[in-house]
Amino acid sequence: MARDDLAAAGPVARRRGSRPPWGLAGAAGVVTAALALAAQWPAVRPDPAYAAVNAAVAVGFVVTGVATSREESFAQLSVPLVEAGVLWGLGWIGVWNTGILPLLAYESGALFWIVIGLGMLRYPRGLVRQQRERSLITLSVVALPVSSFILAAVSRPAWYGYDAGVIWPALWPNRDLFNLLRGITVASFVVVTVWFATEMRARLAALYPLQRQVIAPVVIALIIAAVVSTACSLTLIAPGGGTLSLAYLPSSIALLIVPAAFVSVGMRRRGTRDRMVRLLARQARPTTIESVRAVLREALRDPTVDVVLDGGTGPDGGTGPDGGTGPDGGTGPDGGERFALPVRAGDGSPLGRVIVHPSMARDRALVEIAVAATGPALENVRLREQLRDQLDELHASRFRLVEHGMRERRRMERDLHDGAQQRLLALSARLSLARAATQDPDTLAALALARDELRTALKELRELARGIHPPVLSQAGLVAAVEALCESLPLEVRLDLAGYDHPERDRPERDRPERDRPERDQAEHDQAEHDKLPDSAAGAVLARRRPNQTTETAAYLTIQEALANAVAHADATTATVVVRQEGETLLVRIDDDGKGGAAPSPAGGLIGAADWVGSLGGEFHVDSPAGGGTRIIARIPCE
Amino acid sequence: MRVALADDSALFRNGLTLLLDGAGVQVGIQAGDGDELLARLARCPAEQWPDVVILDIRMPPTFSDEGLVVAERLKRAHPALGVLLLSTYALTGYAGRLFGTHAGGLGYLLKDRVDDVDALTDALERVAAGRLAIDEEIVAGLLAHRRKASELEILSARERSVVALMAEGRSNQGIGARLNLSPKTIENHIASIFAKLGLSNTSDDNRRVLAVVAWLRATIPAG
Repeated sequence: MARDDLAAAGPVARRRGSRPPWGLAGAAGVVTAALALAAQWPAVRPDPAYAAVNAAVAVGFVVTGVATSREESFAQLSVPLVEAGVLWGLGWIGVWNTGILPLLAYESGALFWIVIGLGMLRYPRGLVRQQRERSLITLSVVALPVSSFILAAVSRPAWYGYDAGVIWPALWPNRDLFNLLRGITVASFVVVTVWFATEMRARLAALYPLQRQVIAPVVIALIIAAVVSTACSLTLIAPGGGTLSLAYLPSSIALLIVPAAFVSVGMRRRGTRDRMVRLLARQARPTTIESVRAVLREALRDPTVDVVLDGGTGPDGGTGPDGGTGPDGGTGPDGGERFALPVRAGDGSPLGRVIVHPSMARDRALVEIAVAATGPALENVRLREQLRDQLDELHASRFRLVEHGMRERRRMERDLHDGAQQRLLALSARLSLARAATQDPDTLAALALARDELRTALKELRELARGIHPPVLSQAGLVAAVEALCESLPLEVRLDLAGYDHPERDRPERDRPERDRPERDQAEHDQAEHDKLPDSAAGAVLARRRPNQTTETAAYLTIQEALANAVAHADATTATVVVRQEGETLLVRIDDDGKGGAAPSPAGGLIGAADWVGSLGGEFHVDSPAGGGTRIIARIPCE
Repeated sequence: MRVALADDSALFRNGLTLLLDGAGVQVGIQAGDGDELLARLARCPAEQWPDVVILDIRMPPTFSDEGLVVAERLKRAHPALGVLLLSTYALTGYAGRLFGTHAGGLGYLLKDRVDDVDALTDALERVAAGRLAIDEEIVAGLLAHRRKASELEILSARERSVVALMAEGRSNQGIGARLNLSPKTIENHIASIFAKLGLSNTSDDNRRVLAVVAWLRATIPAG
């Protein structure tokens, strides 16, 4: 039924028709109350409270029946409830003790059980189909209306406490036969009650929690009332007559549970909306798909409810409405089949799906509340996920840019080394060859000048290459590079690099290209070959890994800029450099004894180092109180 | 003299070969990387065996310190073979690692020295003779490094200069000429250095090597 129209209609469209017909229910209630009181009128004066309870049961059944008539999940019980309410009211009419009324009351009492019992058995699947169920119904009809009529036929009204003048089908009054048949009837009624209880217990398990919350008390109330009635009919010879027998009072009170159970559902629905709003407002920020799911489950009190985001960005995105991945808490005996309800954003675009047990989908009122309350929360989640994806992509592209930049710098340094530097060195060799070949003083002088020029050129080229990327960093690693850096500075630097893999034991192998591939930059970051060593070199190398060159370069730049700041701006005389591996991050800390007051200015080297570190997803802190020295801490992730 | 040469830059290799040829040094084996060199040496007949192997430090495949790795292998397999390392940059850490483990027949020059054929052949001869030859710029770097180490306090400033010049492979006379001191004074300084470093009374040449090695070992963390 509801699958198509629930799936097609938005939450707003589905609101129509689910509001209970309160006016009609109220009118029916007033009429029922009047009739019930009229039926018991002779007993109202002596026993007003008892009569009121009986009337309340009748009114409760009728009002509940009318009120649930448009209710998706309980409409099937509507007619049986109204009928049972009327029959219950009629069941007391015997107190008039005149005419046909005692017999009417007698048969109404029996029919009450048939109507309400049959209604319960037909719920929620409609027609009763199973042979076992048919047998139960047949037995009920025999045990109640049929046998009660037979009992009437073999009895006199006086045996029930009625006047002898009332209309009674006393065909063959026989005390022994009456007692025997009454025993059989009571026994059958007991069997029917137990059978009914067993049958309903199996059905309860198949209901989703909200339905169970209503149906279970109803079933329990009916069973209590049936047991009490059975006990009464066994122990009391004269249950009727002109007064209300107090023995039946517990039965009436038990039946009051039936309308109360339905009232509690209405209140619960109202409460569910409030609870969802409250839970959604109270949940920990930020809203995630998991937190929305938890709220739904808590609000609906059903751990099998699920919610997924459309679009495949969320952790559960893309799962089908069949709930193949939906956590089946084992409460759904129908198997894994789930019902998916679309959740739409404010602009009507599809957001996600609330996945519920098929039986819950019938509870429109509740499902609407859940779906409507989920909408804004899911919109929030989707927005956050989109934002996070964009941010991730931004970080990734920034990281790629930085890494590409560093790789480019390494490549440029190497190109300088392999190209211009070697060419100039070869030129230098040829010049000295020429120098050895001549004795002419003028030529020698010219060659000496050329050699000086060449030396300067080589020196400048070397400085240029160093500035682009310190070759010692790729050649010998961070420790050697930092040591070399410190040698060149007019500063006493204490190095604490013990918490870092020393390059002596751990030579750079990251950039090893594949041996059959001559293009170096192509293979530069090819990590596959790292652990392989040429046979000739294997003996001398301990293959310990160290952070990749990008991390090392960022660490080196941080140290370089921090020490440059200590020398150039802070007038420091000593500095301490700590490099330590801390799990997945490389800690770099530089302290100096300078005048402090350093801050990463837009044009300064510190901001450059901070940018390098930040773009690799690391942290960069400068603590530099005026007059108190400078501490710079960088934490750089090591992939 | 006969040498073998490994450098991945053909340009530099050719230039150096020409220069060495002109200086009367025969370049018997040329190789583009360490593996090739080792393979050629393995096939080399005994009468063609080089006196010195000249190695570029930065060679394929990792372009970090292949030359150093090959040098260590060669020195282990052939202690008498001279090894002269060449480098574009002065990397003191490498020098410490190399000289800390092998006592003689080793040299480390910047490639820039190819502009001075005499310095080059001088270094080749020293290495071939089982002595040390260290580029003065690299020594300066080591000294700068040493300056920060507390162990150096046992030597006076003058003695440190003498050791540095010894490390370059200079004779007493050469050191004296450099420092404007008489050879006698240099001898006194050297005796004082030997005493401070606790070097026993072995042959003078060997003690000089040991003094430099002891100094380098103290300077650089062992590999």
